[in-house]
Amino acid sequence: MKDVSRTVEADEFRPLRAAHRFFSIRVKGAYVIVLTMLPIMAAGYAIAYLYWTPGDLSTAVLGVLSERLFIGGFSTRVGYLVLAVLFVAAWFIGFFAIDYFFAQPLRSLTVWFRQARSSEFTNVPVMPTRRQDEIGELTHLVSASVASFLKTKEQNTVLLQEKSLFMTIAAHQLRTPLTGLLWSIDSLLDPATTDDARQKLMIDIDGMLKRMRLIVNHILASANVEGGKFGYVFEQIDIVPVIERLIEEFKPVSDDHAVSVRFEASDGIFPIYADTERITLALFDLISNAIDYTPRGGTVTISVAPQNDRLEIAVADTGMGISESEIPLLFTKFYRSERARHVRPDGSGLGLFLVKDVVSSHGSDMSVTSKEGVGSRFSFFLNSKKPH
Amino acid sequence: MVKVLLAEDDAFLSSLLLRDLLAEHFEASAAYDGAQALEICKSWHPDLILLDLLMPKKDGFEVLADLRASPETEKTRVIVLSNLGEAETTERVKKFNIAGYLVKAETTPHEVVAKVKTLFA
Repeated sequence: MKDVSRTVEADEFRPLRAAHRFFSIRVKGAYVIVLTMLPIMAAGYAIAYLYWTPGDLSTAVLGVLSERLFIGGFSTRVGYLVLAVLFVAAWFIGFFAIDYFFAQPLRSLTVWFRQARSSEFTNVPVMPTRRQDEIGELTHLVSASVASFLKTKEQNTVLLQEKSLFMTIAAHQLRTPLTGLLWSIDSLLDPATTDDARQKLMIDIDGMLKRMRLIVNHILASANVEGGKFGYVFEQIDIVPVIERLIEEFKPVSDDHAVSVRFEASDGIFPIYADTERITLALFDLISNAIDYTPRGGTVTISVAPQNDRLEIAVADTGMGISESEIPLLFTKFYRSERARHVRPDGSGLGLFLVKDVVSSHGSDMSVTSKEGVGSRFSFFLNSKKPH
Repeated sequence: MVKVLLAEDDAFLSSLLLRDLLAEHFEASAAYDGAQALEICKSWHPDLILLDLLMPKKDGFEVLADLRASPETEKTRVIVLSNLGEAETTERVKKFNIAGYLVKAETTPHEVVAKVKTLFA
């Protein structure tokens, strides 16, 4: 609306406005012109005054002036005229000089900025100046701001894409157990379903709900990754029973896959600092991967061994292994190798990304050694001192 | 009797659907990955395949391509039964001359069986 009223105004007073713009509005610097020209104008007025009111003082001053300005050869009146013309010329030259040196660069900066903005800053023309002064600085600053705006915009786009990919994957992950639940209910509602079958369905429903809970926990944990150690609660614990409980939980899965799970722990308790919930999630993912990617008849070995004041936790398998080129990519968000896709097509590519984040929040790196066709070993350390 | 092959890697979902198919007097068999599905196709010659897309070893897209490439199976009817519902995916498989596309989470086993029945009515 504002713009419309402005247009109307511009149309109504076009000639006036043009003049107005030419002399003053184009740059606030016009005020500078007036200010710098004031002494010159004052001098002009003084001369005019002296010229029109002859007297002793006038004669004396004009004599000096005409001598100094080498206009003695003319009649004094012509000399005054020349002076007046010179003043007017000086005024115009001053005006255009200031316009040229100060207003013009600002105008081209404006044009440049408008062009850049019209393309939403995606197509930014070359910066209009190489000046080293204040205007140059301003131009540089504007240009740098545009660049950083672009960068932020780009980052936001990437972030947005990642978020949407994350949402898609999360939704797809939930869809499988959700289908199981819907189909189970469909079956439960069927009068033909026997009591035995119903009982079995209840157990299946329980399993699917637990799977959904796990997926939801993963989603929440992944969403929190950018938050660093926020929300971590470190407490002194014994990791051995935590692992034993996990192995017990995996029993049906490992039996189903015909993979034997072994646990090797040294005698005695070695207390470490960990966020129990998160480290359990990380261990869950490592063990789950090891079982899934190990062929039937293979072995998964989980070991716990003290090294100085740290405890090394390792999950080794006799699985298909990871190629050397894939190892650096393993922990990237959403990354899934071609072969992993073949074994478990509906994986999220979030597991190891999450594991690395949890482990690094515990102050450790993830180590991976692997040989294709022989097996892989994932290990990390937990500290006996509280991580900071 | 109409022979239906169910290619679905989730054993639980497979068992539920298999039971409903058998209850409706279809001759039904289950494959738990893409490679197995193709093998069964070759030896058993099903009249219809209910095909999941995300499966181990060979995914549903590969299975479809293989089926259509072989003269024996190029006419075998296929209903895709997947949880991938994006237009991109449906367009991709519709090129293979399929008899239907069902999204698992949007369809109950009873509805799947009803759909199969209409094909052979």
